[in-house]
Amino acid sequence: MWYSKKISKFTDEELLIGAISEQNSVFFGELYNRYIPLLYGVALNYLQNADNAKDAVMSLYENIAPKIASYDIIAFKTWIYSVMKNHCLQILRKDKTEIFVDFSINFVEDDEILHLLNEKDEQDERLPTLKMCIKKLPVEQRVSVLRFFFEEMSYQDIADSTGYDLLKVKSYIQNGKRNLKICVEKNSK
Amino acid sequence: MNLKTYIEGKRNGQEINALERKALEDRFLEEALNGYDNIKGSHSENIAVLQQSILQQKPQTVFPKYFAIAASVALLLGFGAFLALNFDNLFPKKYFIAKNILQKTENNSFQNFDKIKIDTAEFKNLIVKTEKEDFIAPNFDSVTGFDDRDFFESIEKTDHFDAAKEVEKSIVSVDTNSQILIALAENENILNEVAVGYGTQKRKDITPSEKTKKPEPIIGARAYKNYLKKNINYSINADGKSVKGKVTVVFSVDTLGHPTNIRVTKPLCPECDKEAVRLITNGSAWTQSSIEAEVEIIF
Repeated sequence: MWYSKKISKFTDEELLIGAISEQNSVFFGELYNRYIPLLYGVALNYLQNADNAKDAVMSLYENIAPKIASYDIIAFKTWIYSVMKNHCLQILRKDKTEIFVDFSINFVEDDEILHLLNEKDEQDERLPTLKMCIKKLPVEQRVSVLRFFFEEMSYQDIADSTGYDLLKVKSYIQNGKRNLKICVEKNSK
Repeated sequence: MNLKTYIEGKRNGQEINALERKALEDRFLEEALNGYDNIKGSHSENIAVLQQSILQQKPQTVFPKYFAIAASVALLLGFGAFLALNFDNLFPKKYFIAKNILQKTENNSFQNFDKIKIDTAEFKNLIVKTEKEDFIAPNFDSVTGFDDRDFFESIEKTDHFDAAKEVEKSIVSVDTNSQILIALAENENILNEVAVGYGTQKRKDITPSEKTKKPEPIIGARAYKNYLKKNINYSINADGKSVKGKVTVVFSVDTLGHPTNIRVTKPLCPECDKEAVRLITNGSAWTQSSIEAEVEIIF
């Protein structure tokens, strides 16, 4: 159908405006569907069970779809993320199971160092400092950071090539990043 | 979408690296990736099922309002076009010819009934009406007992409606070696009469729609107003009393376009009336019309 083809090309904002102004479930359905892979993953992360995650994604849709116009949504992505998280926490509370939230993951990342690592801008005067700091890192962290940010290898790739445990690779990169941030800030003054 | 391949279980390669790097800046994505990492299951199928059931909550193709409007407009246009294209079939042309002629004869109303010749054999019912001297024939309904089907058939039988131009005979000597262009003179005498099925009327009474329009100054209405302003002579009130008001003058236009039979319908003062008549007689010629012209002259 030409109409459904067209709706798939709408931006999130257009769909949200359509959902609110037209009172048409097609718009919100399309918008919600786009985020299901992310929402389902988040639900998996909190509920630790595929079936529960599925139910959570479905019940959330049924909950918010009829009253979407009543919410004050600025950015749909951040809004739906927090709503999903709350929904999962509510489910966990109801089930009286122990709430498992890995707060280390929620640690607010420093954008600056990430930007430096991602862009590797030659014009940036901090780049030599960054390179010097990377040399100072412990071996595992240095190898993981270099392979992840400079050789574009995935966590699994690094685990496969180095023989490190996959979860260890993740923490090496996290910690390496944090160490780099401290080092660069100290040396760029 | 990279996330799709991630959900399907792929963990190697640049694509995945790009996704994982994005996750460092995006907690939503990071938590989702964690979920997929930690819990094993047929996630791709679950997602497909979820997306399908959300689409089926309401009919997938609910058209927006403007589409419904556009569709109905298109439908109307289509139907209109169909009507227009088949107009000739739905309403035969001869109907309009007959209607037209009736309209015209109505406008020009038969002032002299003795001029109308009615074919008694074809229009028995009509005769009764004309004898009463109230035949106007504005529409078929008012003529009681009148079967319009018979009327149309009778029109079809008469060839007059083809308005074939009669041409005067002329003899021209021709050089057969060169191309020649021959213009034929119309025979005015024959064209002056047009058959109307149930009578004859002078052609000039029927066809010239121009002449049923109100006459206008040939130089144009605005220029004529200027002419009146410029040429009006106020000095006629030399006794010191200035008279203010309007004089309405009515006149007919002769075949040369000159105002004739000028009459004052709304007088103001004797001098003013005379001046008004003078202005009209000395003024521009007028377009020909059977209707009288009316001019207001403001003093």
